[in-house]
Amino acid sequence: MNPVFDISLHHFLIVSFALAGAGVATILTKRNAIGILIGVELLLNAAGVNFIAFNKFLWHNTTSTSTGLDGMVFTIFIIVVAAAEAAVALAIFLNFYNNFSTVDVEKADELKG
Amino acid sequence: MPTLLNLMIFTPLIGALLCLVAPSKQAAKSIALVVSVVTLAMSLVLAAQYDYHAGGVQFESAMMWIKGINVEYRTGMDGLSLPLIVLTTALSVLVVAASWNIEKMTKAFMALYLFLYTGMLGVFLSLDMVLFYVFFEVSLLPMYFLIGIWGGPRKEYAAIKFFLYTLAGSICLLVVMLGLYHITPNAADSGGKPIWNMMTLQSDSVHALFAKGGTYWVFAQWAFWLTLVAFLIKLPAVPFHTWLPDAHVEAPTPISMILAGVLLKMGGYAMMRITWPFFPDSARLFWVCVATLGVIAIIYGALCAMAQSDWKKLVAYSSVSHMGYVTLGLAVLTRTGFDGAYFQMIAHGITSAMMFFMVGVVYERAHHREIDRLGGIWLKWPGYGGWSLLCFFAGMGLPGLCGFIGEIMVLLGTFEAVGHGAGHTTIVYTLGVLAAFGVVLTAGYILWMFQRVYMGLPKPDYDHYEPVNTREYAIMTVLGVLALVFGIVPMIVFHATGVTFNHLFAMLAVQ
Amino acid sequence: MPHSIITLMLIALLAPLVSSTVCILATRRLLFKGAGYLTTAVMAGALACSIIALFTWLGTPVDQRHALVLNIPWIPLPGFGPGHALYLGILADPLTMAMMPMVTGISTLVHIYSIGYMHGDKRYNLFFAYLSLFTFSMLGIVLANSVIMLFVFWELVGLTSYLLIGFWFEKRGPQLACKKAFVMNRIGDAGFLVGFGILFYKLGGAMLLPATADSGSMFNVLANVLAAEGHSLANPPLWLTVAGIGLFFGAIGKSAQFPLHTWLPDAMEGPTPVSSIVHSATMVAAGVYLTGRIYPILTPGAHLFISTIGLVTLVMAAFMAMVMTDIKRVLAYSTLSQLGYMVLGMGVGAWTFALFHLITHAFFKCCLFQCSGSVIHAAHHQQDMRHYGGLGKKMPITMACYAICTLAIAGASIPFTTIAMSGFFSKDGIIAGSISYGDVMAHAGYLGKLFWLGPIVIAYVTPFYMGRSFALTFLGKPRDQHLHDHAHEAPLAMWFPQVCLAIMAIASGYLGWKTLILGSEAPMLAQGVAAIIPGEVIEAHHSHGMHMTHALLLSGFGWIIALGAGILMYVPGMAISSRIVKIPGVNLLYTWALNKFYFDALYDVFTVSMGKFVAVVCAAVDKYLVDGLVNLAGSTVREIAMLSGKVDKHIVDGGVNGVAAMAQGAGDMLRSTQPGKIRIYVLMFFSSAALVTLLVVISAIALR
Repeated sequence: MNPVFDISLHHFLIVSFALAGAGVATILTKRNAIGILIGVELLLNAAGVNFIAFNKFLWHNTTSTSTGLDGMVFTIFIIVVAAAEAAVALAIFLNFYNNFSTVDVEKADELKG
Repeated sequence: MPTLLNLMIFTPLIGALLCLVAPSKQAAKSIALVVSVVTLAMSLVLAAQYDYHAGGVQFESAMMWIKGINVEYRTGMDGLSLPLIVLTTALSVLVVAASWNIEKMTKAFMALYLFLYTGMLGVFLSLDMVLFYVFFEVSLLPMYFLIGIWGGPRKEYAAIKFFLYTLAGSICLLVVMLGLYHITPNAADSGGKPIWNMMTLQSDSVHALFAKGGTYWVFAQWAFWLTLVAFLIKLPAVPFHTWLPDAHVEAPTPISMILAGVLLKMGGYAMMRITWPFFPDSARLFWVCVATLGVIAIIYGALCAMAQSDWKKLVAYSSVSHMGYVTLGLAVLTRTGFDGAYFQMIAHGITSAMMFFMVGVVYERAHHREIDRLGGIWLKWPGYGGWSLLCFFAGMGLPGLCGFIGEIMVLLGTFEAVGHGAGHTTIVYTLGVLAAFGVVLTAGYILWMFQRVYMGLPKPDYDHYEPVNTREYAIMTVLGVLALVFGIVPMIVFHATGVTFNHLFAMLAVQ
Repeated sequence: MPHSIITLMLIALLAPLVSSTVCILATRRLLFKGAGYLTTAVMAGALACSIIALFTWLGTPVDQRHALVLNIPWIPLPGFGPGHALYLGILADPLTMAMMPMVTGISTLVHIYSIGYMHGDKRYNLFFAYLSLFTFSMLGIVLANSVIMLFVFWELVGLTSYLLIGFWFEKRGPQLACKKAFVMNRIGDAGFLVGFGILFYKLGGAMLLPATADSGSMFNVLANVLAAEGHSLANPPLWLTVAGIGLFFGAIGKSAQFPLHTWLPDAMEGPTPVSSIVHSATMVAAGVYLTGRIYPILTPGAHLFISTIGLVTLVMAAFMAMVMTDIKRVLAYSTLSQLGYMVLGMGVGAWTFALFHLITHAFFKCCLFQCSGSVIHAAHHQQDMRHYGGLGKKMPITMACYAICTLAIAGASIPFTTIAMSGFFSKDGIIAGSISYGDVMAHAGYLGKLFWLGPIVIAYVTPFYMGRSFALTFLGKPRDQHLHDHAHEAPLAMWFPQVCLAIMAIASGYLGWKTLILGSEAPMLAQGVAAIIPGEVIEAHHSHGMHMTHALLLSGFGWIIALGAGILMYVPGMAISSRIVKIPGVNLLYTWALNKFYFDALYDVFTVSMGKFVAVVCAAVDKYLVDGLVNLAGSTVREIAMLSGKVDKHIVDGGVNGVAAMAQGAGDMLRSTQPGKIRIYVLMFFSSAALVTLLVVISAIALR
């Protein structure tokens, strides 16, 4: 089994791990709210990649085809939730910007304990 | 007549309320004057109606007040209170006249003064221990404000000291009253209730409880000293006297007059009403100690007076010295001493009020009381000087003036006490000699003061002093004539007290 | 008869009081001279009353002459039973009868004299008011029926003396003198009160003086008390001696006896009429009168005390009188010395002669003072005799009066006859008494001899210093020409009383000798003595007879020599004496006497300064210790209150707050984990997730 060309579950997991790592890194390093939002999208997408990959390899050895869509459904939900979340987040950022003339999350500490 | 007596107690209180709502300062003064004149008239009517041959308590009235502890509102007058009542009412008119030029919060002043007046009358006329205690305390509060508001530079200090010191004495009295509350139900004819009636408290059944070797003999000894301390503070006697000079020095003139003239007498009166008659066996046990206190007060007060540079303080210390004769006369348990002590109170009421007034007349104009800065006042105002001479010589105990009778009777009574028996002879002779020596010291400080204040040439800064006015001359004339009358006809007092004292002294006499 | 005498006495007593009161009350309204004439007239009335009373008395048959008494209860003494009291009132007995005309008479003359002397004074009216008040008080002493009344008027006399000495109170001298006089008198009075108190106790309050059948009289009661105690006057209990000496202390003060004598010379600061009546004739003699009144209670011990005091005063004052240069001070010390004679007389039992001397001395000494007043008046208030000299030519009447009285005080007589001046009759009786007392006291050795020697020596000294003052004032050459030029005879109002007194100074001796001492029918004083002196004490008195001639011989010639020496030595002024006092030894004595034996300095240090020091100490103790304790109690309570306030604030309430603070601290701590930085939340989220994962993996591996 060629570790490079034989695409196994590991490859997907490595990609999704990289995606998630990029997402986390983005969230941790960006001060811009939009950038963080993008990082969050990356995280979600990493999760989506995982779901699809797991779905593919979960049903791979079974003969049944009727129930092989579990991961797909989750992923579609994730995409939808991500869209909704982006809309809500953007609305919050817009308001934030209106109040503070910035989208720097470092400034958004009014609600700290 | 009992109605009139009760009315007399509360007339000043009504006057006080009227003063508060008076339309003007002048009106308040007039109300106070009318009230005090009316009260004087009432007391004179009572004195005229009193049956001197029967003596004892007359015009008595009683009403249940606090049923649970058997406290009554009980008032009445006897030979012990009658002369003091007349003294109080007579002085009161003069005090109102003397406060005629008080312009600071006049209404409040008059109202407080009249309130105080009710307290004083109540103390002398109440025959129930609790009622007595209430009036005793009632007289404190107005005095506190009268000194604290209208006083001199250190008025707050003096007022608080006066109040707390005398209150401390009252606490001693209260302790004794708690004891009486628990003990008196055991008396033979008490009916199981506490006895508060002062006359019953002097009866044989109660005496039996407090007799030497009786059930409550230890309590009786403690109670004797506690009540004694309570009243010695009021009197005041050395070493409980230091509130007096401060209070007098700071108090305005009329308040000094009433303080020295009447309030101090409450101490002596209460001793004659409570301490001695309630606990006669204790008095017979401790008489030498108490007499020594009296002699110390005479000598020590006179010496302190001699050293004062403040004129009013000198007069205040002279009160300490003169009140020493009261303590001594009471302590020696002879009838002569007892009568002398009582007369000394009346006489001192007249002379000390007059002395404080004399000081006040000068102070009002000079605004200081430094003896060394005064001098030559006799030449400046010959009439005032003449009355001062009479007044201060009366204080010194010159025969023909009221101060003499009390002093000589107390002295004679002291020597009479040698007859109380062996064991005390030397100390009683010593006390007698020391008390007799007191007259030298008295002459010393009064004459020295008289020389420095009155003799010599008038000082230049007297020029702008306004002359002594008619109102002031009227006050000193009344007091001066009283001093003369009581000095020449002491029988006035003894006539009133005689029969009552016969009964009273019968239980005190040394068997 | 009795009623009229009592009434007259009462009028004589009260009239001066009334006129005095009128003068005081109407000071401004009376015409300027009115007061003088009014009081003088009233005084003359009182004199008339006492003379009428005296003659009524003399007109009564001898066997009916009882002492008359008016007792008015003053202070009730129910302690001794109902009806007991201290009494005021009047006692009219021979002694009173003799004293009354003397006092009223001298007072009238002094009133007249004062009209002249006080002319133009600012407080002219007041002076007469005081003078009449004084006479009232003095009459009260004379008429006293009880010890208490005696004491009452005793003090009033002290008061009027105070007012009169301090009459010119603008000046410092009179201020100090009047205060000193009163305080010194009061020291004596304290002793009096002690004696009074002891007797009061022992005699159960019976304080009446007269020795009549009246059972309430103190002397009768005393006799019973002594009998009950198993004592007698000859064998007396200690308390009686103490009481007698105590009462006599009053006399020491008032009669200015050693050691309380220093006030009398200072009292000369008062106007001269005052000196003439108060401080020579009457008030200072009151002490002698008192001693005479209480004579029956005096025990042998008290007698010794009294006579010793009298002797010391007599000798000491006479020597001081020899060196003084102020004319009034010479007379003042002379008065002291003569009072010493009287007190000595009382002490040695020469009761009659002591009181007789009191009366004669009153006349001549009053006259001497009035003469000195006239001289001072003429000399523009110069009182130093060294500035006088030769005034006799300018003031012949005054000189004559002074001369007569000098003879009287010297005890001048023509030996072996009864032709003599008043002083002779009375003084030599005292000397005789003292000599016989010296015999009685022979067992006391030298002390006994002193009673023999002292009075006789002073009988020589007295004429000497009187001759000295007479010569310095009236004889010789004028030593101050200006003063001499302006000197003039006194006005009528002043010389008239002098002349009257001088006449009395001559006559009173002989009259008194005849009526009071020898009186054929009833010697008044002797009768008085018999009435109040119990038999045993009078024994010594009778032995005078033997010594009388003895005394006459010794002192009878003495006056001529001593008076002559005094006059001759001082006619040229102080020239001779100033040489004598330079002699070593004498000069020490001289300085000593000139400084009044340093008594004033001594008293100043030991009594006045010490008294003030003690007073200051007491005041300091009062302020810092007694009041300090009160304030300490106050501040202690306040400190405790502050402390408990702190405890409450920090410990009790601190606990409560501590709980809250702990919660808050915990909150603060946790709060720091919520910084509001979104990235930190994310980091924590992921690191916690990683941590959990790690733990799961590790535990999975470990559990395998």
